[in-house]
Amino acid sequence: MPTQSEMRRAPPPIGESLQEYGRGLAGGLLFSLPLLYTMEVWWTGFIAHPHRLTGLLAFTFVLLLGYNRFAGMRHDADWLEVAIDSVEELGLGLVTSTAVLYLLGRIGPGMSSGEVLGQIVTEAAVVAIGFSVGTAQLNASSEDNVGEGNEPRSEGRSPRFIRELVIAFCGAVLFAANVAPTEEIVVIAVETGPFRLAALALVSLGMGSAILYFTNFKRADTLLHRGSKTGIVLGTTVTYAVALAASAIILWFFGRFDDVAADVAVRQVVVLAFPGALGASAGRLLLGL
Amino acid sequence: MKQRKNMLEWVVFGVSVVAIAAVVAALLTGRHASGETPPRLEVRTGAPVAIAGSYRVPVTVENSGDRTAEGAHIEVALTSGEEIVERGELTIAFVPRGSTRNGWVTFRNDPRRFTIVARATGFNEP
Repeated sequence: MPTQSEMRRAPPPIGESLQEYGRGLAGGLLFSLPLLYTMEVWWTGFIAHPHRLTGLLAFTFVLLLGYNRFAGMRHDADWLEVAIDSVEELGLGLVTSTAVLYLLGRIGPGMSSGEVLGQIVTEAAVVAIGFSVGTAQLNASSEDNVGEGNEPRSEGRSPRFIRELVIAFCGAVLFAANVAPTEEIVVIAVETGPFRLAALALVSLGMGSAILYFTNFKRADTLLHRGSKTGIVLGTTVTYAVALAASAIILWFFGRFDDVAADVAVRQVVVLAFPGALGASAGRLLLGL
Repeated sequence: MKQRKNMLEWVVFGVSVVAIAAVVAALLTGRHASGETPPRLEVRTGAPVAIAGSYRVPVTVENSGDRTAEGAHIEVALTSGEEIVERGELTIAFVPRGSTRNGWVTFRNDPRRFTIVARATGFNEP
């Protein structure tokens, strides 16, 4: 009878791992560069309370777990392997954001540890998710097994609904995070009238629905249950709800809800849920493998 | 079937564990981890430097509070007894908790002949 260790595949050659990290780095930078070059993100780093920063790390780790479990490149990975990958990506995110912030002159001698740490953690969150997406999606050879690898995996192991929910959430976070820290969200939220905001919400809903069900978007037919009207209504609603939730969480982290009237907070969520919905629909199809 | 890891992957994993543990530990136990005291700005001035008919005085602002100060106005005055001879001021966009920011004020009078009084006149809490 073979022991546990004999059943495991041999470790990959070093070169292959290096390629994987290289793809991860590319993905990490692709998704985080807008944030690394945004002043409001640096400021959030040193304005945010250490507890909030710790929360951000935990939130990022949970997102990584979800993404690696449901869309990661190792389809047969168990939870331990998923956790190890997530730890690696978070660590690499921290190292990468430190290096880039240093090169950009945002951290250096003379700054307190709190200031340096805050900026690193804030930027590392998105870099880490980018790492995960890059490792899984930028792999040239993964195109070949999209068709065969996808179906049995989603049917056999986990409820499809949860898997879609998690990936939609990751997509919403990745896209919404790019604009969430900017002042523009508050400006739009405060200056736009209620009718236009309601229209924006409807457009977000409609856009999500169109992308998922009516545009023949890449991978849409392998990933979604089509056909029934109830399915479409449900899918559209849930996707928008995910976008709203992701937007609210990100805005809270960037301190946009601090000392703010409830209606302004809601308006901001609606404004940010537009890119969020784009991420939860188109983003999810692109990231979902 | 599971895939074993090679040396490089274990090294990366180890470095990651250490990095994450260090960051979390620093966040949770750092000097400003649990405090909620408002920004507290201390303003210090250095030795004046004479340049082309005016005098520059280096100013160091340190925030020893637990929160960040935004838009800090710093006033530096040359005084002789009760009388204020000349005022200089500067604005600093952000002074994060525990951090220091440096700037300069310039005077027409020679600061060495007067007493230099420096203070933060106001700031926002972001």
